[in-house]
Parts: sequence; C-alpha cells; structure tokens
Amino acid sequence: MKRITTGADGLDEILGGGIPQGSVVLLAGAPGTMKTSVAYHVLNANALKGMKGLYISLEQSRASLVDHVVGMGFDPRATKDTLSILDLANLRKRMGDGGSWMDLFRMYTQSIRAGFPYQILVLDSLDALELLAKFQNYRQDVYELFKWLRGLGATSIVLGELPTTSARDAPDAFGKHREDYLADGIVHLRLEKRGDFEVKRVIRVVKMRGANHDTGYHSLSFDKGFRVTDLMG
Amino acid sequence: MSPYSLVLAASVAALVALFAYAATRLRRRLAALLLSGFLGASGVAGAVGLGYEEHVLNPAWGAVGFAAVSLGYASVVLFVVLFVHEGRGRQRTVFSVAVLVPGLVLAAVGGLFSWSPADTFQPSTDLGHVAVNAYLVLCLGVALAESFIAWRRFPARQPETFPLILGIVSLVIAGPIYGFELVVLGITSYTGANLAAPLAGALFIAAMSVGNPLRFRGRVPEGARRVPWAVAPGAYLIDEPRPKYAEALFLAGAHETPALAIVSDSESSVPDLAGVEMVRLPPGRKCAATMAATSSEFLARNPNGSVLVDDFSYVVANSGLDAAGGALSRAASGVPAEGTLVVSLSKLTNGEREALLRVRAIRLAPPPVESRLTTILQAHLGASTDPLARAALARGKRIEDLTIPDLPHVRDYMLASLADMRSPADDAAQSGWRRVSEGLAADLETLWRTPPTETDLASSPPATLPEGDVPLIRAAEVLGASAIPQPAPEVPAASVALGAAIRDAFLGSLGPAGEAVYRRVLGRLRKDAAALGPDDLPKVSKLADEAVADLFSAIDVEAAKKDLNERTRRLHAQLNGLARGER
Repeated sequence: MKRITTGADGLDEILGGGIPQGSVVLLAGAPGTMKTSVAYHVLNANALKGMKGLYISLEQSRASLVDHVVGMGFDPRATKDTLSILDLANLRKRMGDGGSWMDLFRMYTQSIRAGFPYQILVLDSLDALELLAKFQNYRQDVYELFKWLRGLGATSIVLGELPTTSARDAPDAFGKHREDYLADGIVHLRLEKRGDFEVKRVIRVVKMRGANHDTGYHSLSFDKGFRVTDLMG
Repeated sequence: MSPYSLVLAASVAALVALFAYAATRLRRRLAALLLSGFLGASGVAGAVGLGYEEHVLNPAWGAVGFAAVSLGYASVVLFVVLFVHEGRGRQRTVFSVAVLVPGLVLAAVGGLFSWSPADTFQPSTDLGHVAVNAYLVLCLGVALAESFIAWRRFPARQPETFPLILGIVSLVIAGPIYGFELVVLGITSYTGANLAAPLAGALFIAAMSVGNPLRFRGRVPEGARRVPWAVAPGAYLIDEPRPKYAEALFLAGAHETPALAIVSDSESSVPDLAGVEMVRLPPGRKCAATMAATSSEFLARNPNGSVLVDDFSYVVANSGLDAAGGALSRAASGVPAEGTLVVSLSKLTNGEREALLRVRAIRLAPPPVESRLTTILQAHLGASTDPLARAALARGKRIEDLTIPDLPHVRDYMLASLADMRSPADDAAQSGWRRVSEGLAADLETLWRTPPTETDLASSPPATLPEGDVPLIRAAEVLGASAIPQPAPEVPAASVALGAAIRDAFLGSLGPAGEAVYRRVLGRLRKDAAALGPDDLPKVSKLADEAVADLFSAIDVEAAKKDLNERTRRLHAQLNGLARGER
C-alpha cells in the first residue's frame, strides 16, 4: 500500500510508514493543539515534492491562514502551484449560511480536481461543515461525506474539534457524534500538563487502518518543522 | 435694552430650548437633524440681530446672519418635504441638492457683498436682492404647498400636517409679509430675523411628536430561531389566520442582520420571536403613525434590516382603517432595496383586508401550517391526527399552535415514533417502513424549507407518496377533495415554466450547488420564481455572473478554475437559449 509522508520528523515512524493513500484521517484535538499547523505541514511537505494538495477552510479566511502559516515559517510562494487554499470562509460571508453548503462543498471538491488533481485534501473543519450544511442525521451525513471523500481518490485529513479535557484524561471519543468509527484513521492531539507550569503537546495515533502503528502518546514539538519524539525523551 | 432686543433675546432663548429638545427627543434622525438645522440657523440669525441692536457685534457679522437665514429657510423646506413624503434615497438626494446648492451660493455671495439679514425681503430691483427674495419665498412656498397638499390628500395625517401648515404660515407672516410691511411703513431696522421661528419650531416639533418612532437599538437577533428560507427583500403582507408565516418570513430575513418586531402593547411574549429586539406599540390614535415612523426609521438606519408588524389589526383598532392603511402604505414605500417589512394581516375582517389591497406590497396567503401538516401525515400514514397531536404535545402545544420553527421537531418526533413502532424482527415490513419514513421525512422537509413566496412549490401536494405496495389511505379519501388546501394564488403557467427552466439551467450547469446560487439570484432580483419573465433574463444572467464570481473568488489556483469555467459557460449558454425562447 502506498503511503503519504507527513514530513514531520518521527511521525511517519509511529504511523507505521505514513498515512495510507486514499484514507480518511480524522485529526482531532482541543483548541491550541496545532491541528491546522499539522495538517498544513503535511500538505506543504508533499507540495514541495510536487504532490498537489487542497486545504479547504470553512472558518479562517485565506489571508488569515496564510498569515498564520507564514508566522510558523512556511513559505506559501514556494508551493503556489501545488498547494491550493479553498477559501469557503470568505464565500460564506457573501452567500450567507443558508443554502446547500454540502452541495457547494461537493461541487468545489469535484470541480477543482478536474483542473488541479490534488492528492491530499484537508477539511478544516468537520464541525464547521456540520454547522453550515445543517447535518440532520449526523452519523448518516458523516458516513456519506467520508464515502464521498474516499471516492475522490485523494488522501483526506479532516480536522475535528474536541473539548478541552482535564490533563491525563483520555477522551471517551474522538468525535462529537462518534465519527471516529467512520474514519480510516484517527490522530489525536492533546495538551498535557507537566508540573505546575509546563504544558506539552502530545500526539497519538489512535487508529490507522492498514498500518502497524504505534498506539502510545508521543511528544510533539515545533521548531522550523514538526518533530515527534518519545515522551520520556 | 430696547423692547425689540428683549423680544429677540426671548426668541433666541426659546429657539435654543427647542433645538435641545429636537436634537435629543425626536427619533426620526434625518427629519430631526433638518429641524434642528432650522432652529439653530434661526437662533444664529436672531442672535446676530440682537448683537446689532445692542451694538455688540460689528457689521461683519451680518454675513453670518444672512447665511443663517438662507440655510434656515432651506432647512424648512427640506424638513417639510422629507417629513411629508419620507422619500427614497435618490429622489431625496436630488431634491436636497436642488434646494441646498442655491442656498449655499446665496450665502457665499452674501458673504462677498456683506449682506445682512436686513437685506432679506426688501422690495428692490437689484438682481441680488431679487434672487434672495425669490429663493426664500420659493422655499416657504414649496413647504406650504407640500404640507397643504398632504393635508388635503391624507385626511388620516391631518394631526401631523395641520401643525406644519400653521408653522409655515406663521413663518410667511413674520417673514416676507412682515418684511414688506415694515418697508412700506418706512421701518427697516426690525427686518431680518423671523420672530415666528420659535412658534413655527414648536409646531413642527408637535407635528413630529404625533409619529415619533419608538426607541430601538437596531441589534442583530441573538439566539433567535432559524428558518432556512431565502427570502427576497421587500414589503410583504401575509394574509393568514395567525401570524405564523409572517413570523417565519421575518425570522428568515432577520438572520445576521438587524431586526425589529413591532408588537401590540398587550402582547406579553412571542415565543417564536425570542432573541429578537421587540418594541410595543402604545394604544391610542397615534398608533398607526408611530408604527409607520418606527418601521421607516429602523429601515432608514438599517437598510438591510427586517421589520415585523406582528398584529396589524391592533393598529387598525386603535387608529382606524384609513389612518392604518395610509401608515402601512408609507411604511411599505419606505422599505429600502435590501430591507424587508413583513406585516401580518391576521384577525382583520374581509372588508379590512380588501381595503388594504391598494398597498403596494407582495401579498401572500399561505394555507395554515396545521392543515398542511395534517394533509401530509394522512397521505403517508393514513392515520388520524393523533400522531400530530402527540408531536404537538411534545412541544407543549396544541396542533393549531404549531408554527414553522416547530416543523423540524415534529419531523423528528414523527420519525422516532415510526422507528419505535417497527418491530426489529419484522424484516418483511422493513422496506415499507423505510419508504413511509423517507416519504414522510421528505415532505415534512419540503414543507419546512419552502418559503410561501415560492407559490408553485408551496402549493403543490406532497411530492413523494409511497408506492402502491404500501397500504395507505390517501388524503383525498379521508378528507374529501374539497377539504384539501388548494393552491392559493394563481400564477401564469408561462411564468412558472420560465422560473423552473431558469432553475434547471442553474442545476444543470452547477449541479445541486446551483440551487444555492439560483436562490441567491432570486433574492437579489427581489422576485419569486413564479414572477420571472423573459425581461428578467438579462438581469438573471448578470446576477448569475456576480454569484459565480463569488464562487471563483474562493479558489486561488488558476488551473483549479477550469471546470468551474466550463460550468459557467454552460450556464450562460442555457440562459441565452432561454432568452431566445428555447425551453
């Protein structure tokens, strides 16, 4: 099975070699756990190698996202032909929240693919799409969405928002409505309190179909790129 | 101090007090601003006159006094015309420029030639003086004519227009007539300041107080119920037994824009309008004028806002049908291009409804929500209204109290009930149950999502009935054909066909996403699908371009726009085909 590299030092190893191509991976975490940055990092690392990627932002405008990633040290100019940001946040301001957003989402993902055959897609975020598309039967709607994403043939990373949990408590679920059962993979990002003053970011691959992955928590740090190390290290 | 100085001093003091009152207590912002301008300018002219009399000011101040007189009279005519007509933006701007520019020119020329207030209303053949006199008399003449015409034409507004007439007449007497009279008598020193300005100001304030808008903040609804309708802006009169569709239409338009519900004083609370700013109309004869002024002022300050008049029968009961009808016409004509006014005609008699036909607004008469619900349920379940009564009870309501925002809850309740009723082991019946559930859900969803403006959709019977192998009793068998709500308003078949063809063009080229774009175009066009005609096609095409440009703006890589370009080309080709009559 072909795998997509994450470009993060040490992350591919705990994933069992990378993200299996064509899978739908839920990247879940509380606010501040760097979900956006990790997802963009994966797109960026592959875009630099010529693999096209699409970042769909439903809440953050393109300008704001570019500011964010430039602040992190990424250079969007280097990937201008291989990494596209679909700014649905701005369109949302113009079109309003009424209307068929799921249809719009599908039209865009399909239309863009015709001229820009992306191989990795990031959806930021599932919760925003739920709100916009007014999911009625959540489990069914998410099932249909993931089926659609798999049908695109690209590897999809779907960002999911989790509430902030107390330190050391593993969440009961990685999706508000048990979408964790529907995803092919789940990567959980968390803030871990250490002592009275230190907070560490940790990452865990909860599930990855078709990969012999490590299931433990690892330390996630960022310094000109993401780096995943053993917690004890 | 001479007696004339004392009169001038008293006049200035009164004008200052009136100025303060007008600026702080009158809530029609633009009219109050113009009235304050008149009072302020008259106060300045009076103060300059007083300064002359008491030899405190040198002659150079004469130009200031003259400018104040010119602009004061300009303010009077602008105030009166705006107050009487509550005109739309373009007409108002043109008229304001036509009045203000000559006034400003005269004020500037007066400054150059050192004219003073004493130079006004002087019988002279000097071109400058003739121009000044003509302008000032014309201002008063237009103001008097406008207020007199309004007094004659709108008897219901006489409590407002009569003080206007009195005020302008007093200005005419104390202005041109008094000025010419003094010159004839050879007394020229008392000309200039109009001593009737305080009286006129007080009368103008009295006129404005008749319809002073209620106090509002103009806030966006917080946590209000959502209704997923794309509603074109405009004025709507909703003819229904209870204000259910009116409230839903208002809630649909009020999403993320300022909204105001005008309810009767006796209304304790309106559950469906929770989170929406609400003002209560006090009882009394002023009720209609207050309603119109509040609506117009709210929409003038929030041009994309929405106003709901929840109980127009209360206005009719308090002010009478003529006054209420006139106020409604004014409120409807004052709705800006992006604003929405929704008025419920519930509780009115047939005669009263007919009397309101002359109001220029979109008139809708949707069938009652509960009867449509009953029809759908009986068509799919062949049952009595018991399940609906239970669903209503779960919302703490009776069937007849169910409103549009209740529909998703009714649907969920009905589907949950159906799921509970099915035995897990009853495999043979599963497909039937699923079909019934899906059909019921689809029709309830259609009812929930279809605005009453889409007459061709709104009046159609349930779209997806279960197929023949599922035992059911159809609505017609239970109710009889006559009991099933019939399509309310009739629309020309050609219009419906064109509207549907345009929708098909959007869906055919953009896929299901075309629905969102099509609804947005209709919203911008301020028309229903059924009202679309061939003349609208160029506009539809232009608005489609704007909507598609927005779709393009979300994409940053040129190559990614290729497919969307092709879809847009297809859309234009189809719209062009429709323009050529190809359907």
